[in-house]
Formats: sequence, structure tokens, C-alpha cells
Amino acid sequence: MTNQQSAVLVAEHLSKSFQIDEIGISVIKDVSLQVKAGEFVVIMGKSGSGKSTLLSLLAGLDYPDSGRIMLNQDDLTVMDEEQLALKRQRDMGFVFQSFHLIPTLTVAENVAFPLQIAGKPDSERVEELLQAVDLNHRRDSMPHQLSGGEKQRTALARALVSKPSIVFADEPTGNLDQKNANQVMDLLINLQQSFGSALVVVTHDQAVADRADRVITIVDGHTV
Amino acid sequence: MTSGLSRKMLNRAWFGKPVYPLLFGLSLWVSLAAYLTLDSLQQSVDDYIDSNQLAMVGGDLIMTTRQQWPEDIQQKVAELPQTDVVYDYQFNAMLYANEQSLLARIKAVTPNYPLYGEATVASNQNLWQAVQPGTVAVEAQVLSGLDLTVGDSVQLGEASFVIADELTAEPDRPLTAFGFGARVLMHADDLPQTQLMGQRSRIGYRIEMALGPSQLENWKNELTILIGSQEINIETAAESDTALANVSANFLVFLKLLVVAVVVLSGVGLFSVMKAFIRGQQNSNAIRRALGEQMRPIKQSYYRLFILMALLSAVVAYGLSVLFLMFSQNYFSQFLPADIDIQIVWQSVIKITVIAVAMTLLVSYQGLRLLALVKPVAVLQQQKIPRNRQTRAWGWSLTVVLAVFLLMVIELDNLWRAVQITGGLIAVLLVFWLLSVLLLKALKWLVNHHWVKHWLSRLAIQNVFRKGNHSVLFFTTLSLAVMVMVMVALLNHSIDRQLISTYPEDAPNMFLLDVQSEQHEKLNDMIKAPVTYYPVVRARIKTVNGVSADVLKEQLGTYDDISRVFNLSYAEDLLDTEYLKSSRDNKQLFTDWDDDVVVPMSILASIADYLQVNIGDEITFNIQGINLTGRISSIRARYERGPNPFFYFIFPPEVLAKAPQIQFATTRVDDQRVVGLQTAIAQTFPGITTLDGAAIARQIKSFVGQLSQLVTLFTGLAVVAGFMVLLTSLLSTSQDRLQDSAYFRLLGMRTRHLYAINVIELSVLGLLAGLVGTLLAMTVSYFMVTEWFNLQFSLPFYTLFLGALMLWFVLAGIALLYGRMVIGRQVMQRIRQMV
Repeated sequence: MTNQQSAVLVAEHLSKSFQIDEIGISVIKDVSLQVKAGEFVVIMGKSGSGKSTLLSLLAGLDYPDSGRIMLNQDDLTVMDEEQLALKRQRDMGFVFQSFHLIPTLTVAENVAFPLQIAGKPDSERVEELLQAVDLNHRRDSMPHQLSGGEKQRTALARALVSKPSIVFADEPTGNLDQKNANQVMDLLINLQQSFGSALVVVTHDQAVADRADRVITIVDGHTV
Repeated sequence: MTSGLSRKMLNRAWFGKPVYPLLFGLSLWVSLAAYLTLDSLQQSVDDYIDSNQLAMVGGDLIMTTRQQWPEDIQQKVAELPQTDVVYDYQFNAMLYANEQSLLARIKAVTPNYPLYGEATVASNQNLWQAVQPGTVAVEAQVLSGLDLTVGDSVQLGEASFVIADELTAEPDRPLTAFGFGARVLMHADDLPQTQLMGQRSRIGYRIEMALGPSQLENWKNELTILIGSQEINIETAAESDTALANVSANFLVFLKLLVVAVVVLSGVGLFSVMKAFIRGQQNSNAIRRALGEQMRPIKQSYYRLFILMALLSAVVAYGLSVLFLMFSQNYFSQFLPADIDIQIVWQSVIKITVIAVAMTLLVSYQGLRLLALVKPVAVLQQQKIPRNRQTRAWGWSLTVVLAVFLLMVIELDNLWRAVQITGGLIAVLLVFWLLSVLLLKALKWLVNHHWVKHWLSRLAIQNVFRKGNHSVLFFTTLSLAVMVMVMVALLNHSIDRQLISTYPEDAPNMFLLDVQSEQHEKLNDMIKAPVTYYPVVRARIKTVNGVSADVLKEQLGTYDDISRVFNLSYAEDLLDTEYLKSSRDNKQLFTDWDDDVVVPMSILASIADYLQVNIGDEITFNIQGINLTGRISSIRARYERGPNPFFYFIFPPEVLAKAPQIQFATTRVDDQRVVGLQTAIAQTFPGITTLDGAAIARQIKSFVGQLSQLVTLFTGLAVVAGFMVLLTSLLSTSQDRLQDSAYFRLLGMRTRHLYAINVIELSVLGLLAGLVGTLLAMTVSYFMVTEWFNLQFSLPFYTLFLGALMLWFVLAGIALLYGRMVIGRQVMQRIRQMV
């Protein structure tokens, strides 16, 4: 009970399978975990181990077949898609391997977007994040004009702009060279710590895992 | 609420690729501009009719007849103040001056003409100040046709008149396309001097009366009682039909129905553009969803963009329509009054805006269902966003049909007709749709069973069946539009070739009206060619097999009007242009029925079908109050239709020879002699009116030409809409095509092969649709030309070849342009992504 109260995210007995050509493949098998406020957790595993699927379930991007996910004491598994969207808007931030910036918005607009859709535009906060990721000088650039590192820094700023209680990152350094990867991870961890958000990173990069508070390894759909 | 950034993001994505707004716009501009133009035209015509109805029909109450006014009617009318009545006599006659003659349409009126509106003359004087007794006002064509000027004299019948002025406008004759002969306006009191009244067969007698609203019904009732069973028609201004009202109610509505079909097609175009755009935005949509944006604001952002586009399109359509009306007045000159004020009507602008927005909303609703396929998890590449999942939408389809039906109700102002036409439209579309599906399935079968040997052709034709390609829709649209256009061209060609451009060699080219028996000999001497005289006895059908014509009128079809006046004739033999279809007695035109009450009669097959009668059936005619009952002893048919006279009912000479009759005659002379002969006859027999068949054919050609030009123009819009469907479906399948091209390229396919695939695909699809449309048009036209018009069917090979060539050029052009714009530029980028 005490653990649950201090935990931002609690997942219990999660299972998920996919139908591929009429064959059911079990990807996540009875996984339980929790993430505390401000904690940096890494989920590691080999390709196909189910780590990205687990992330999609924890972030409310997909529904588990069974089990329960509590985020700030709200059960994500009983919410409909619209309620989940609202939950993501208020409580979560995302960083993706492929950046997923909106190609028709500038850097500043991409960062401001989560605040805009929440109906809480805050230009000072946007400025703050742009400063923090050192992209003020590129604020009016379009995503296609940025380098990979700049794109991911923009994504970091976007993920944290709405002060989420938890940030999910899927292979955030996967598309970057070593130098940029280190920079981005430094930045991500610094920002997470300064803003107090929990951070869940899916990666197969040991260097990233070495910096985490806790590492959850997933093998064949199970946590070990 | 849609956030500003959501709008900005979509707007940039939309306007960043001009192909989206351009195709969206083009889909709407064409149909909306055409609709706006026609709706404004119709509104202008209707407004003109509303404001000028009294002037166009001449009075509040109008009586018309083909005989002298009975005494009691004249006495009754004389109770009205003289200033409120106009007597009007109209007929065709020959004018003669300077050794030249001209066919004219005479209008003799009492000096209170016109009761409403204004007749104007070139000198700008008051009409009756300019036209004193003994003088006439004439249209400009009289002056130019006879080399006369104002002040000269012209011979009309037995009298000579001074031309007092040039007549520039008549309120009751806004259109000139529906009458032959230039106008001559004169005093009714001058008519007797011409000595034309007694012998004329085709005089239209009118009395126009100005009456207050309170008097109107009383006068109508009292006059109706006086008229009794006499052949006099009486109607109020509101009840009167004008040629202009008929143009508005029939031709313009027909054109608008064509445009409604184009509007529906443009909806398909919009759908494809939207689908392509939404698919292109699926990744952004997935990001938006992953970041927590709810579906409602996402949809709102799309709706806002599309409605903005619809409104912009309405503005562009307005501009196009203004331009079209500015430069197209000549297209309508034959059937719209010269003084009509044609301009874009604001009600029509509102109408097209509502149509544009409603259609956009309807189409967006269905298009945005694609958003439901977007799952935020797609951003983690856990799930590929489905491209072409079909969503069944019966409710939506029903709403579309209802929307079209509603548009029809508004257009036709008649619920039942709207049901019929919407039903008919759906039925025709279904038939063409099924035909298209069948043919494309056959094509697929041929490809799958290796009937198409060449690998490139096989690849290209397989593209036709790509999901989301709208091949069936394009095929349906193009074949239907080509069918209508080719049909118009084929009918025009056959009629033009046999009746107009090449006037039939054996057909009469001069028609002489109001001939008298004692003039035959002299006329024969003057014409120096065989002249055929036809006696005409005017009669109405009273009963058919004892059933009253009034009762039958409700039951018979629309081929003819049983209550009208028919021309009976008498002869001993068949005309050269006819043959006996069936006869009571082998090959006999008439055989006695051994009955004192009935006489034998021969009937033309077409009217026998209409009246549903056969040999042995009886028809009773009323000839100026005397009943004559004929029993059918033979049925005739015509070899071919053409400018040869024919009679529905023919009797033996002894039956009708003594009935009151008029005669007309036909002859064939060298073309060069026609004008000279007309003049000579006008000089010798002023009472005879001669018509030049070839000249009339030319006048008809110009009128029919303008009608068919407009039909072709607006059907052409359907072809344009069809191409928009093709273009937009190419756009919506671009990503798949690009992917295929990238694979082909990786495997070493050369650029020209990539282009060839597109060219072959579109050529096969388009030319096959064109061929189907042409074959159907040929079949329908063949039956119409041979069975309906009784003419020989002929094919305009050159025009058809040219049409096919143009179609191919357009198809190949689109294919090459598409290849260059979409595939050519992006294929290497795609390959790099793949590698």
C-alpha cells in the first residue's frame, strides 16, 4: 500500500499477445512492475523480447489482454481511447527513437504543441525548455532542417514541456551517433532530475542502463 | 477547441503540397462554376419572366383562335374600354420590293398595342406616331434582305406600304429562334387592303385584354361561357406558357441535371483528395494522438481546413462564373431575349456555397473515418497503419442519396419528378457500374490467364485493379460521359448530313402555302418542274371507337396531343415517300366498308400506335361542326423522315373534296432558282407564301447547333470531372505506386519502363471506357436515327477518330506528368529509405 502511494506507475500481471496469420504470439507474459516518482528506470532486452510492447502498454498506447496499469492512481486499462489521450496529455511525456516531430511545425511550435492541445499555452515555459535543450537559435527551423541530435533535443523539450509525472522514451539514442547519443542522454537525465519526472527508457544500450536507478530486463516477455 | 498549432500544422501540410488544394479546388471549381452559371441563368430568366410575363403574353386575359372572331365574342369584348383591348393578327406572307422577295411574319394590331411593355422603333418616337395608317415598321432583316431603307415602299399582298421606321423591339416577342420570317408591324385596319385575310390558312387571331385583378376571373368565366365548344382558347397571363418559360423549364433544367451529375462526381474527387491527404498525415495524426490530443479536436482541425477550402472554392467558382458569363453570351443568344440582364444572382451564390459546404462535410465525414484507424501505438512501430481498409457505410450512402434527392427536389420543384429522376440516375449509374465491374473483371481474367503476354503490359494492367484506385468509378464516369457526348455527335451528324448540310436530293426544297386550285396551271408554268398539291382539311378528333377524345387524352402517351387540330387530306394513291404497312384488302389504300355511316380511311402507323387503333377501328372527326367517321382500311408507314409532307389521315377524294380546305404545294427546283421563283410567285400571287426548305434547314441548324453545343459543353464537364476522379485516385494511391516503383527500380527497371507502366495503365482503362461509351452511343443512336427519325444512320469516322486520339493524348499526358511529378522525383529517396 505504501509502495503504491509513492509509485507513479504500477503495473500488475500484464499480458499481451498478437495474432499473426491466425497464430497467437504471446509477447508480454504476466509482467508486474512499478516506477516511483522521480525514478529513472531502464527496460532492457533483446530485439523481439517485448520491451517496446511493454512500453506501449505502460504508456497507455495499447491495451493489455489482462492485468492492470495504475498511473497516478488511475487505472489505464479501464479508460477508453479518449480518456487515455487526456491522461497522456496531462501526465506523460514521450521521446521516440524516430523523433516523431510534427514535420509541418517549427521547433518552437513542436515544443509548444502539448501545451496548446491541453489548452494551456505558456510561451515562457516553451522558452525555458528551448533554453534548456540549447535550441533557442533553431526555434524557427523546420524539423527537416535539423540534425538528428537537434531533432531529439526538440523531442526532449516537447516531452517535458507540460511537466509530466512520467516520461517514456523508446530507444532515444537509437538513431544517433555516439556523441549525440551521450549528449541527449545527459540532457534527458538532467532535465528529468530537475523537473522531478519519472523516466522510463526502453533501450538495449548498456551505457544508458548503467546510468539508471533501476534496470528491468525482459526476456521472452517475462521480467527477470 | 482546435488549437492554433493544430490548424497551422494542417494548413502547412495541405498548402505545402499544391497538389492537394489544386485538385480539391479543381474538383469543386468546375462543378460549382457550372452550377452557379446555370442557376444564375435560370434565375435571371425566371426573374425576367416574372417581371415581363404580362408584356410577353400581351395582356391579363388572352384569347386565341384560328378563325374569325364570332360576333358575340366581339360584342362582349367591346364592353371593355377601347384602350384596354388589342386585336392581333399574325401570319407569314411574302414581301416584295426591288424585284426581290422575302418571307415575313406579319403582325397587324389595333393601335392600343402593346398593352404592357414597350415596342420600340429606331427613331425613338412613339410607335404609333412613327407608324401611321398605310405605313409599316419592319425589322432590320427586311431592310437588308430587300435592299430598302426607311421611307421606301414594300408590297404586301395587293397593297403597298411605306416603311415608316425600323422596329427594334417587341415586348411580346423576346425570342426570335422559334419563328420564321422577319417581323412587319402594321395597323390592323390596313389588313383588308392586302386581300390576304380571306385566303390565309395560318392566321393566328389574338385578343389581348387589360383587366384589373377583380375583373379577371369574371371576364374569364363570362367569355368561357360565350366560347362554349368553339375552337377558341382563353387563358390568363399566369396560365400562359411562353417559349422562354419552356426554355427555362426544360432546356436549362436539363443542363442543370447534367451539372448535378458533375457535382456528384466532384464529390468523388474530393473524397479521393481528402483520403490521400489524410493518409499522408497518418504519421502526424499518430503523433498527435500519442501526445494526448483527443480525436474531436483532430477531426475539427480537418473539418475547418476542408470547409475553408469549400468556401474558397465557392469564391473561385464565382469568379469563373462571372468570366464565363462575360464571354459566353453568344452561346445563349438563340434562346434568351436580347434584353435579359444575365448576372450572377446572390441566391445562386448562397446555393453553391451551401452545396459546397454540405458536400464537403458529407465527404469529410466519410474520409475522416480513416482517422479511427490511427492508433497512437503506431508511433512505436508496433502496428502498421492500414492503408486501404474499406469501411462499409450504408447510413452514409443513404445520406448521400438523400442529399442528391433533396437537390433534385429543389431543382425540379416537383417531388414525384425528383423521385423519378433520382431513381433513374441511380439506375443508370448502377447499370454502368455493373457493366464496368464486369468488363474490368473480364480484363483481370485475361491478364491472370496470360492472355496479355508482354510483362510490362501485364504489370500495367494489374495496376488497374489496385485497391483505392477508383478504376470502376473512373470507368463508369468516362463511359457514361463519352456515351452522351458521342450520342449528341452521332445524332447531329446523321441529321445534319441528311437534312441540313446535304439537303436530300429527292426532297422538295420549295413549299408553297395557301395555293388555290385556279392557280395550279400558272404555277406549273412558272416553276417548270413537277409540283405536288396537297389539299388540307382541318379537323379535330371527336371519338376513337366511340370513346371521347377528352377521356382518351388522359390515357394516351405523349407522342402527340389528341385534342389538337389535325390536318386531313385526300388522295387516290400512296405518296412516293410512303408504303402500305397493312391493308384490309391486299395493297388497297381504301376499301369500302359497305356501311352508309362510315367511310374508308388510311392512317399513318405512328399515329395508329399512339391512338392504339388498327384496321377496322373507327375515328370520328369534327370538321367545322360536321362529324365525319372514318373506318381504318389501311395503315401506312414512311420510308424515311425528312422534309417531305405527310398526313396522318387520308380519305378517298370523294369524301373530302367538298369540305372547306386549303392547299399547299411542294416542288424541287435548282437551288439557284429558289430566290428568283419566290420573287416571281410573290409578284404574281401575293397571297401565296413560299418557303425555302434549305434556308429553313440552315436556321434550324444554327438553333440546334447552339443547343447541342451547350449539351456537349456541360457533358464535357462530366468528362473533366471523370478525369478529376482519375487524378485524385492516382494521388490517393501515390504512396503504394511509389513503393512499387522503388521495388521495380531496385530490381533494375529503367525509367522509361516506369513511365510506360503508367501510360499503359491509363490508356487501357480510359480507351476501354471510351470504347464502351462509344459502342453504347452508337447502338442507341442507331435506333434513334433509324426508328425515331427514320433516317439513314451514318458514322462521323473522322470525328470519332479525333475524339479517341484526344482522349489518348490526355490520358498519356496525365500518365507522363504523374510519373514525372510523383514517381520520378521521389523514387530514389524511397529507395534510399528502403536500403
